[in-house]
Amino acid sequence: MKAAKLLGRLGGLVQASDEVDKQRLKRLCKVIKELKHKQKGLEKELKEATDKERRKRLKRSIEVIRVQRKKGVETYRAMKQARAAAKSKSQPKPEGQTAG
Amino acid sequence: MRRYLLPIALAALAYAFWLSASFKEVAAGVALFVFGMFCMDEGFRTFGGDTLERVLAASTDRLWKSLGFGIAATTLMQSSSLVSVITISFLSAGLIGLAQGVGIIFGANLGTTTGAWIVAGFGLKVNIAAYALPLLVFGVVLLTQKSKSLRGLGWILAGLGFLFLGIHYMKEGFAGYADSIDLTAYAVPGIGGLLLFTLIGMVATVVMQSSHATLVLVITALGAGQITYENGLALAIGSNVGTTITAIIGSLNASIGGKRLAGAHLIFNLTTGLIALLFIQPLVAAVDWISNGLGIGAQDYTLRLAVFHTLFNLIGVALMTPLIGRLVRFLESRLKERKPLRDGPRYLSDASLELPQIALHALVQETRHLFRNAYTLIAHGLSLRRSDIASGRDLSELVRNPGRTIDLDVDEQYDLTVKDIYSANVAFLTRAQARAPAELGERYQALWRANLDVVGAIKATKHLRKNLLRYMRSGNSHIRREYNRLRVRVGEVLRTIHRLHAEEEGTVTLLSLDDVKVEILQADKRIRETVDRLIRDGAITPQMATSLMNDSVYATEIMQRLLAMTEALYSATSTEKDEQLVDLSLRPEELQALAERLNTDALTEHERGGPHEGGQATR
Repeated sequence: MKAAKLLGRLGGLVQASDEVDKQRLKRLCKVIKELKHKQKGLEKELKEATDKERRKRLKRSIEVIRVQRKKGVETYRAMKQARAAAKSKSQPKPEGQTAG
Repeated sequence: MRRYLLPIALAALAYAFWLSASFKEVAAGVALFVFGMFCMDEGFRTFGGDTLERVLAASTDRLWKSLGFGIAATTLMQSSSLVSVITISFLSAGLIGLAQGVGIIFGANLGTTTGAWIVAGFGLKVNIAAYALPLLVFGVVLLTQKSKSLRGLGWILAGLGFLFLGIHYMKEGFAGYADSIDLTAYAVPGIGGLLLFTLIGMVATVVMQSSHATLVLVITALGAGQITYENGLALAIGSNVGTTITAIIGSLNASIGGKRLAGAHLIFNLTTGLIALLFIQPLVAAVDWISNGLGIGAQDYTLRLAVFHTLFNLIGVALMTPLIGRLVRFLESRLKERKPLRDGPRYLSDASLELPQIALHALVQETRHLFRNAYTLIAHGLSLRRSDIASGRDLSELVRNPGRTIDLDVDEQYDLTVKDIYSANVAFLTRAQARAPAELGERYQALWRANLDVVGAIKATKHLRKNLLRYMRSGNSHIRREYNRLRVRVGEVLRTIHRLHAEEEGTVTLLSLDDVKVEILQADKRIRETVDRLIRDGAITPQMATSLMNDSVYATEIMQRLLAMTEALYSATSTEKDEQLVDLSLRPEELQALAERLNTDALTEHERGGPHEGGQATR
């Protein structure tokens, strides 16, 4: 009984940690989308801009956002993979299943 | 004369102690009681900060919640003075509005009446010293612990112990008097007695700086039969009014909000005091009716006094609460914030220093105030209008049409609008940090850096402005173009940072600081190449070239300082790590790589096409 209670608590903790990761992924996804929206806005301005200096600034801003988004997407994928790997490790193998 | 007041008072007390052992006991009881309140103050301050801020934020968005907070906080802490100080500090720091502050003060007046109930209902009826001693022992034991919470609890328990011990000695002292003299022989009946003892109550409260102590003294004297019931009621009314004098004295160094709150406190207590005096007979009848209903004995004058104290404060709250809106408007119209030519700190006050978290918040607000003034100075120093920066319009186009330069004496404006705030921030920070727990140290350091950076940016603007005014309207189009570029670069950074301060500091807005960092890295390399090219082409004179190089350094310094200030302010204000900011913002090596790539792309584009802007230099 005691062991079952402890396992139950441990399961709760694991679930809570999983929930935190899930929320973090959601927030990261949201920010990446906001950055994409901002990038689109700047690209539209770039199409209309004629001044050389302004075009340079807009290109720089767009490039910064592009690199930030790329970094964000890589982080997102890595976190998702890590989460999936952690989930498959914690799930017990069904009975009777053997390798090969 | 003031110098001799203390020695005279001490001498008078010593003589009185020699004359009367009972007086000595009563005075010792008062001293222990007041010391107990200091200890409890100390204990509750330990638990202040984040907890209080959260509780206050959640409990003061409605009037009934403000009242409830005032009642609960004062009942728990048994100190309306502490609640007043906390309320003034929150008000000064801009955390609550005046209406909420007034609601808390009204509630505190009601909460303070619970003290009378505790003393009359419990303190006089039991051997209170028996409860005091264990509390003292546990309190002192906890005071020796390392944990801040346990020490805080220790202060509270020890404070309670001293409170109870004080009541015990007051009881014993007055009981001693009963053996030797009958103070009720000096009772003054009728209206004369009412007014005289109200005045005595006020004076006693001002001297002891505590209405609680006065009330306990009155209740113990009444319990020992040393004063009449009628005179006891008048003393209670007097103590209620006298406590506002303490609040007024405390508000002298407070912000305008603190002064208005003290004004509200005075008006409330004067009103309730007047009502109590004018309607004393009906009130006494009401007290009798309520007491009979509660089963309080006809001779139990101490509990009846407690009922009276609660009743007239309750009437005051009931009458004044619907008028809070009018009261706030009245106070705001009578106590106006003077707008001096010379700007000074708005959010700092001695009251804010009482709680480290509140002091930090006040300092953050004041640093933002400093930045707002600096922003104006820097913008005007570059002859850029704040409205143009805030508008989002293309600054390159705006600077191309020269327009008028903005007249500005940077030193004079610095003196009028920045220096006093900066000096006050530094002084306040030093005092606040000395009292703050270690975990807030980094945030205070961040604010220190933010203040230094703001002023550093202003100094750099002053240096830049000298040649800027000369060359931004120069006949030489090359030097004019380069100086206007400097204006645009700094203007764009001002725009980004102003947006950050004006809007919510969302992650995406904070990430735009990476753009500023890349711009700074690019500009350093670009200016060298530009100056080289312009000199080779004979487009500018060597004097112009050296001015441009030096002023580019100043422009970069302004941007770096503003960036550093923003990051420092962010680190001082955020209590939780923004994970998305950490995940997405670029590391220094990434910023460097991006800057180099952009420079290479720009150079390639330049080599591929686009006319050179050549020509001989003109002075």
